[in-house]
Amino acid sequence: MGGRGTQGPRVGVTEHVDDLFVVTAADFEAWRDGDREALDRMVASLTPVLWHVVRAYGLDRQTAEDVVQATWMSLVRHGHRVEEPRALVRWLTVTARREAWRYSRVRRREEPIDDEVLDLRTAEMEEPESHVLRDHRDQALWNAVGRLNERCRRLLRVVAFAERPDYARLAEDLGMALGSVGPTRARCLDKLRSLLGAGDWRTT
Amino acid sequence: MTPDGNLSDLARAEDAGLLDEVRRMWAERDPVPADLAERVSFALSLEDLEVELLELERATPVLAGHRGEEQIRTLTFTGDNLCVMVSITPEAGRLRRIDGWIDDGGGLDVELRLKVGTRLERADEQGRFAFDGVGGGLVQLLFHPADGASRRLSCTVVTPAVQI
Repeated sequence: MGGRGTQGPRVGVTEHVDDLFVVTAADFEAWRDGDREALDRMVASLTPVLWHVVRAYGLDRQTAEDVVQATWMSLVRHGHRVEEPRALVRWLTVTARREAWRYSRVRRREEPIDDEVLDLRTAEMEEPESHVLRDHRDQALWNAVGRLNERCRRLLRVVAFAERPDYARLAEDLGMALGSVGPTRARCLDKLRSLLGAGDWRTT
Repeated sequence: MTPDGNLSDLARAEDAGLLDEVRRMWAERDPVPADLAERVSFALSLEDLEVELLELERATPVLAGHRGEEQIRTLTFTGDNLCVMVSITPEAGRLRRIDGWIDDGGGLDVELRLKVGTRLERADEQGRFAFDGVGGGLVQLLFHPADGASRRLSCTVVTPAVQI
């Protein structure tokens, strides 16, 4: 870290200044230049993202916390491998997914539970008693997401938190292959839409 | 060429809108623990991060006891090279006592990292160690290799940061 001398424009894409990805890219560069507080800022803004990515893999809350900590430690150890600051979020989420998979494999040996079922149930149980469902529409969305298959539910949760809307364009900028994520995402969104009943939930 | 390059702008905006709803839903139904980022920052402020991170295998919940007193909590940490059990007992004046046992860990150096400062003990022959008069807050335990320990560690082994 440090000594890279990149004092030029801190962000390359000025039109998305408020975008999480750009802000954290700037913090990432600042951290590599030796600004310790920039790391804390990254942790504050991206820990919620990593939480939802990891929880999408069906880990219980305790294990999810450990995986998030392990992911950040990995960044501090191997962050120099992230060549392009704008690829930071992707690096972190890929690492978190890998760690989540590793932890869940260990867990599964001990507790052969359908962890996706557990995941939804756990979230439901942890809802504060005072929580009043905001309205019909929230419940409709919750039910519809619960009826998606495991793969779609996981993918949409990860995408909702960890990918910017113009992710495809970003990937192109960076010359990254997106694989089949795009078409699968579209199929899962269509499925969710049809489960929501062709749109009347939006107008309630 | 992008995978969804043939999507219209309208469809793209609709997808983004639905994903926003999904994000809001999960953020509300399964919120990130309020202090998780703080704990991460604490763990990252370790000076040497060439360490093995243990996993919190089991923890008794924080519950009030019979007369509103805090109960003893036990935590179990495991990893590839070490297994540690820790119990946290309330002491007078909002302090805590930490008793630990390292499986086959006699003679290892045990460091207790606090928000401010750090304390050092050496595990006895049975792998037991203790810290008393510990204030509440974020802590982390580090197990350092030591000459003459019953087990050779190739690097320092650490627990995740936990609130006590």
